[in-house]
Amino acid sequence: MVKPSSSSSSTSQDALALINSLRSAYSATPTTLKIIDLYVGFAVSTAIIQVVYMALVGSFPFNSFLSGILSCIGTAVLAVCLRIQVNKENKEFKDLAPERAFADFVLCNLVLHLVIMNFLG
Amino acid sequence: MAISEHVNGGTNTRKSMPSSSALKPDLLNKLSFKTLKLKTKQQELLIRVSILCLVYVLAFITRLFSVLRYESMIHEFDPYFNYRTTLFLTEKGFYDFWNWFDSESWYPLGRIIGGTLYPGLMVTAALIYWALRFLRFAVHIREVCVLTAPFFASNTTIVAYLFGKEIWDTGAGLVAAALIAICPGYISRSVAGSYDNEGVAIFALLLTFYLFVKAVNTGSLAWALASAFGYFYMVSAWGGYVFIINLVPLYVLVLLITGRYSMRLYVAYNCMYVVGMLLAMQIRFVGFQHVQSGEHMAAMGVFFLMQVFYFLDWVKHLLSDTKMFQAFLRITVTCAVGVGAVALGVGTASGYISPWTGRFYSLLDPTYAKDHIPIIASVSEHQPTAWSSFMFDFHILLFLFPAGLYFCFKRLSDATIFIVMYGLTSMYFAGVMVRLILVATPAVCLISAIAVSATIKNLTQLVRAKNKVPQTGSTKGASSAKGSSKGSIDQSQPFQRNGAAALLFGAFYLLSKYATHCTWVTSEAYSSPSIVLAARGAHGNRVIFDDYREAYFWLRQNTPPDAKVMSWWDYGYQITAMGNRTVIVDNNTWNNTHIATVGRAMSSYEDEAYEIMRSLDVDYVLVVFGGVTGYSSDDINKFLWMVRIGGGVFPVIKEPDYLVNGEYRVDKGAAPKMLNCLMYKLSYYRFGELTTEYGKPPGYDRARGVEIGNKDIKLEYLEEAFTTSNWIVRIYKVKPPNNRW
Amino acid sequence: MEALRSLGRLVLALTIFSNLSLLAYSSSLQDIQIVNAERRIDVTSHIIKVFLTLKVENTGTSPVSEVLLAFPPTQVDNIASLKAAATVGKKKKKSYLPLEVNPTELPDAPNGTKYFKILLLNPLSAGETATLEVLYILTHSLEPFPAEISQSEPQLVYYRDSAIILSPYYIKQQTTFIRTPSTKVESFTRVEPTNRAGTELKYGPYKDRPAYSYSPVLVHFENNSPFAVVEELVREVEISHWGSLQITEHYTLAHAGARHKGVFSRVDYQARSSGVSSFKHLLARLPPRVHSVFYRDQIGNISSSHLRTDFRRSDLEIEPRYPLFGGWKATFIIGYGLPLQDFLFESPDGRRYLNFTFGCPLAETVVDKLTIKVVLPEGSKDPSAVVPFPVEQHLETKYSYLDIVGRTVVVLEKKNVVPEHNSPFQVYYSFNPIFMLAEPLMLISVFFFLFMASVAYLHVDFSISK
Repeated sequence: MVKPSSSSSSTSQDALALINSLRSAYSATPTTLKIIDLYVGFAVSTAIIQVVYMALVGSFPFNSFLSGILSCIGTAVLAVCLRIQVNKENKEFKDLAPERAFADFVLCNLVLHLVIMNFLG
Repeated sequence: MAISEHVNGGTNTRKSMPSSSALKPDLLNKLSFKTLKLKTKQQELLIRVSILCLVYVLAFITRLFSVLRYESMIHEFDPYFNYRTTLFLTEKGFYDFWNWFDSESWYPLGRIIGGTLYPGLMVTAALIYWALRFLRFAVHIREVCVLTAPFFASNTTIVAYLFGKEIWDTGAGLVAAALIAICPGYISRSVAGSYDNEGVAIFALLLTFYLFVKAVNTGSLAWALASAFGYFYMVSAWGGYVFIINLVPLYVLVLLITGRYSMRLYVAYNCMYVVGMLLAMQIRFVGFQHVQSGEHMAAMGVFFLMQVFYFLDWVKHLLSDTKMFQAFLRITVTCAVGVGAVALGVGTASGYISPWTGRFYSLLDPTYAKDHIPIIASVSEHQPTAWSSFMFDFHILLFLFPAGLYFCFKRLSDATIFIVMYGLTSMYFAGVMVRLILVATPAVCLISAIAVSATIKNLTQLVRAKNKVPQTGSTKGASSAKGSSKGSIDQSQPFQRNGAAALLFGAFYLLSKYATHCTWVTSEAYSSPSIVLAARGAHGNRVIFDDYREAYFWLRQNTPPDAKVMSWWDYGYQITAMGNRTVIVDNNTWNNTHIATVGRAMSSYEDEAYEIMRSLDVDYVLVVFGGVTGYSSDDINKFLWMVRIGGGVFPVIKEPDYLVNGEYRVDKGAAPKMLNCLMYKLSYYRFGELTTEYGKPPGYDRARGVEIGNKDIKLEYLEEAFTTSNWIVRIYKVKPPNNRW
Repeated sequence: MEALRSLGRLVLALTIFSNLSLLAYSSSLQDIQIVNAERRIDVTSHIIKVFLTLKVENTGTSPVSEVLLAFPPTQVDNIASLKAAATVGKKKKKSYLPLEVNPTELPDAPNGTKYFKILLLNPLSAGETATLEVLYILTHSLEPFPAEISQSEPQLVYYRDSAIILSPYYIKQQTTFIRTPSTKVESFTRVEPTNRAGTELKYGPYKDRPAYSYSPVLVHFENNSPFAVVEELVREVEISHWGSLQITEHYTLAHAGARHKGVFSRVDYQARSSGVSSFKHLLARLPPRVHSVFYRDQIGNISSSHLRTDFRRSDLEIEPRYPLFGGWKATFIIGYGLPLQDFLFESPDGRRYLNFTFGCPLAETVVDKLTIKVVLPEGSKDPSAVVPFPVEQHLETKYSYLDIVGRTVVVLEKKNVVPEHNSPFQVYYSFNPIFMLAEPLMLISVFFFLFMASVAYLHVDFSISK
């Protein structure tokens, strides 16, 4: 009967332990990957801001809204792909040169943004 | 010449260095390349390149039957619209084409052509035309249009070779290229003259799939980008792109569920989805469907699912403690599923996400169209497929398909899983609608090629193997197993070599029968232009019925330029393209009510029909009649569909009025409404005076095989303007209203 | 006294001189007298042929070297061709020597009459007679009346002319014969003496009619011959020094008779009881050794045609997609190839020339506007054309297969062309033989570039990292 407080405290303790271990594991990642993660975070937050703005103002013209959202999400996803390819822990991409991965990333972003510019209206 | 096999695809085949150097002198002697002094690798390259060149040329020339027999012209109905738009594009330029509003069809509504077509085919043909003109080849745009489909069929064989190489090995690729070059399922929609979207779309489909599988195999962003462009080309070419946008997410889902996922899959799918979706939305006709239509929601759902999945994977990798991770997992999964379900529910309920349209819903529920959308049900290509059609279009591939599936399951990899899924889903849809055999053809060819290649490779190894001394002991078990796979004979089965040779001959015999069948089918069934009919005259000479073009040319030359022509929607595109006159309804069938109005006019008595025709400003009425020649695709045979479509919107028209005891008749025993409706009168006007066959009374309808019921037809509001020489097309002029005093 | 006499002689000389000159001026017209004129008008088809035989006498004192023919202004526009010949010899030994004819103007022509001047080979001395044969062809001169007919009615036309031959000279005796295609003549104006026997209508003989006498007559008769008029014909003759001549002809054909009104009934037409004035077949006469003949229109090939070849000529019988009734049109394209050695020759001064037939290959048709374009090979210089009758010329450029600078085109235009104009004409140009290598060199260089590019691609390392 006296368990609830401890169970709730145990869940919060669990949550704290979770967050702590996550943070410690994350700080072990190399700096290059952290930069990419920062970029991803920036892109996703920009996307969220745009969604909030759309909810306030309305979605006309829809193609502009879509192009804005998709540019953020697209570049975030491409950055995640780059992160995957550059990360030395991934065995599958052992023989892929990081320059090649970065060149691919730049190319895809270029195409993405050219299409966005056409779509912006 | 053993080509070393690679498991899991992906690594290039240039590193192959066969260990059969002992066989080299034999090879050189057998193949008599002594004079050229080529090494094995170069011999192999030479043979491969020459096979591909021959297959490329074969795919092109086997589609040229109708050009050689008749002339270089556009066939059927839909290609005439594509030809007209391509002509407009080359004459006026891309900006006018993209913003074209056509007032010559669907009078008085008009049609926004720029926004309601798939421009891929037209732009492709125009680009080829401009490229040839730049190189100073003064060709006419019609020649380019006629030969676009065979050219892209040749390119499809190359893509099939690359795809086969990716899935299995180069041998399978070569066999796949050869099979798809002559497969009747593909030839039916890509003969020279069939200038239709599918001719280019199948190339784009196979290219997209190949590039996607290559991206999944290599994990490279560049290949994923290429597959996004392939998808863009497919979206611009055909409405069937919905198949890709549903199959690829399904494939990803299957991989995730079976635990075969990897980082490469993430890279490939995400890049393709985001960039591909963006590119696809540039086509006006597709518009925002990728985020608003129910048919595209699967892709978006899988996209979000993938983000969640890989995020969880990354967190699991970061955390070493599994229990904490389980808790985290539980929370995240419930959140994600909840959010997703809520979003989907709100979207569907509020109508923001539109449900599956009738065209694609009828694929999942084949009985839907017959009850609800008679226009879709009336098209002959949309009927369910009979077994004879499968056999006709696939021949031996039909039983090689399960054999190939077996081989694929024996060696599962990302690529083989994909081709298995593609094959199974496309075969299901091919069973629902005849037209979709075309989409199943590349999958069937590829899977059958795997079966053929694997079988023949095993058989030839057995045939060419030397008698090796049987290895003793299990210490050498592994090497002996390897050795036996390289071609030693199992001594326990005598006559193995002879059996293998016999089986090889059998395989070659089957393949040659396949080639014969395909050529015969192409020549007899799929090469008719359907606008020109041919028959054998009394002396065995060829008689050509060119009535359609006769009538359209008469319309073009001898009617006022602003005349409006009413006919059934089948002929709309042809009348606009060849007759150059405004039509009321055409093959686009985008407005059901307008078509139903025309159907109602055709099924009513003459005075009611006259009111409708006056309200639509109709000047001429065009009717197709096959009673004199025995041509069975005429309007009287299509009449019941006119009644059904008209009756679907105007309850005045009731189908039982035109039937007698549920039977459709045109002779004396026909229903009185049938004998006096406008279509009957226009088809049989003054036909009762004509004797069509020796020994039969005048007014004998050769297409229906009966003597018509109402021979004394009088027209009050229309007069006969022109009838072609074999009575196939009849044109009537609508008389202006009488002066009142 | 002597001065007065010399003055008087001077005045006398002057008056006599002026009288003589006046007499000479006025007698240049009054000198000639037509002793006998016979005119035969053939209206069996819509191309009207008129044969005029004039026996001309020089009644003046000075020799006469030209004879004038007069035409009313309405008829002059419809004259497609006018030829004159002088008869030499009698009966069996008759031969005809062609004479030059030029249009001319006279300042005091009554009622806007237009004239043609025939130049005689030898001037006609005083008191002599000469016989001239004149043939002129009229087009668009039969007016259908009624203007619109239905399918079952025959076609009736008006022909308007004068019973008296219009001439600036005094005609002593003249007769006019009009030959109709059948005996069905609705009505004709009577100018006595007039006679009708079978298909021939005879006006005359009329005696002693002064100059410029004119008596209009109207003949209304049935004429069901095909009124095939090609409204516009563009013939393109492309010379290729690789051995062939390619000709492409674009026709706009119309039926110029009474317009068709009402119903077109296929039953009646197939029973052959109606549509007598419509036509279905056309015959084109092509040179021998013709190959690769095609007959198509804008929407595709027309399969109803027959080709019969001979070593002297080829006959192509074409059927338009539908029979042509009054007012109906058809457009089509006929193309064929001919061997170059029959038509291209080298002139003595080193230039090449093309010897080809002017006119339209279709038999019995009138062409309202004929354009012939001779496309010379790339690199030709100094083109010029020699045509036996007046045409309008100008130059154009055309771009075709493997062309860089374009090909020169000599364009000849003529209006109102009839089959009589099917005579040869020449186009001269100079061509440097080195230009023939231009096209093979282009193709060779393209393949060379392709191979070089593939060799370069295979040997260059494109990888991003080592």
